[in-house]
Amino acid sequence: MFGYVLPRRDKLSETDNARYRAAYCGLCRCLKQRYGFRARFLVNYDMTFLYFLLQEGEAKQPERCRCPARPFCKKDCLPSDGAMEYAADLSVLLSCWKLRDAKRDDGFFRRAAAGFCLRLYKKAFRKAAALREQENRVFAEQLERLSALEDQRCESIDRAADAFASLLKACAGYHADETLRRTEELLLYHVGRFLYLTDALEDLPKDNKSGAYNPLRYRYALQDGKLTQADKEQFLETVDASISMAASALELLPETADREILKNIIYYGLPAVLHCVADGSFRKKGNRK
Amino acid sequence: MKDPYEVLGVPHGASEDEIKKAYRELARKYHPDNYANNPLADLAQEKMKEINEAYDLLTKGGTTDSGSSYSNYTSNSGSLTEVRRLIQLGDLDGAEAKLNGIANHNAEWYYLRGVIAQRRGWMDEAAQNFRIAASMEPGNFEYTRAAGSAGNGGYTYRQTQYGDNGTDDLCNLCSTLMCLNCLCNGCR
Repeated sequence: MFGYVLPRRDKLSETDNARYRAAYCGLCRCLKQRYGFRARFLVNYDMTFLYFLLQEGEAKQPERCRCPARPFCKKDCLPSDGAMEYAADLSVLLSCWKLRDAKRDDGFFRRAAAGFCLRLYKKAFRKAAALREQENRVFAEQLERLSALEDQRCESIDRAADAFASLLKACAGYHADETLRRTEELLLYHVGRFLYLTDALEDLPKDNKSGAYNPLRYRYALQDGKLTQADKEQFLETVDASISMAASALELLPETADREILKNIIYYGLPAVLHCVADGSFRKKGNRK
Repeated sequence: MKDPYEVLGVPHGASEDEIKKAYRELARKYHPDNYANNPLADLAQEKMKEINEAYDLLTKGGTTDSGSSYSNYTSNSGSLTEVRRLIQLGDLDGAEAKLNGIANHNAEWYYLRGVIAQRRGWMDEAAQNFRIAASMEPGNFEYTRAAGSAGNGGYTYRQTQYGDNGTDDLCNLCSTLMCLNCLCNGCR
């Protein structure tokens, strides 16, 4: 997971801030209930967004629950429901696929660490894969496709992004209603495209040094390992286009209880993250990957 | 049928000005131009129809007079070639195959290749093709417009009320969010 799908909390109301936090804590609790304590470490912002996207019906009232990070006080947690469980299952699947990917590509120590973690989550992965068979199949297929494109040194940023975007699109499998699903699919496709391209931009200096595949290295003529100003603008425009498409889909979704949070993430959060990644000031907590 | 006040998002008993204002806001948001080459264009069109009906119901007591609203909007897509027809049917692979079989790469050829890419959400390839089309035939309005808007996929989210993107103090986004990790949040 990338951790790019964030709200801009300064533009969220006090209530919505609390609800966002409660959803994050709820997802963490749901992971524990379904997969045991260690699955708590797989909680992430991207799947919190998925929960808000997929939830339906009346606003869920938070419950009080214990947080192992602060054992002496209770936190608000949104209760587990279908959408929460779905987001938890996919958190497990996506995290494990990411670990598998790290086990193949990164340096020795990371590979060993990824292998170790994978063993920790083996049982959880098997359970989640059995529960969300169809999604897991798409994840496997699209990652296979992505690694084939990487091996070919694909020059099209669109095609490389398409594999990852199609993967995320599969997360719309929760709803059976065709219109709803189609709209969510478009939204998730473009969030996926946004994620892949933003990640490529952030990793460009690193990949340049290590010689790893990065679509930007093949699409643009780099100067001193950087995009020229004109290319950078063009690139940001094309990523921005995906935010626009995600917004166009969001506007066609039926109203849900926490609509403001979703709007905030797409209209404010994603552009802010892109802006910060582009000028190199997006600070990460800890190591990613 | 849905409550027209609800459709327009105004309270019952709203004044005509309020209704008009809400209608304009929504009509701008769901206007077909915003959803040109968007796979969800049909849904936006339905939404637009709903908004028009609600507006007509509230302002004219139900008599549908399309003259005042956007309901009689039709896109002027020009002459429909086989490729255009396939694109409209949503058969993008078919359209692409057909296009690849044409040896004469004129401006329209590049334009249509751009449209196919845009429909797929491949904005970078779309923009590249639109730019070629526009440079081959600088006088063509359709191509120049596509080249100009290729960057945003037609829908400009910055137009809406959410468009303001003040960037002061943005980049501590992540450090603010760390608080979420229950570490520095106290017992809230």
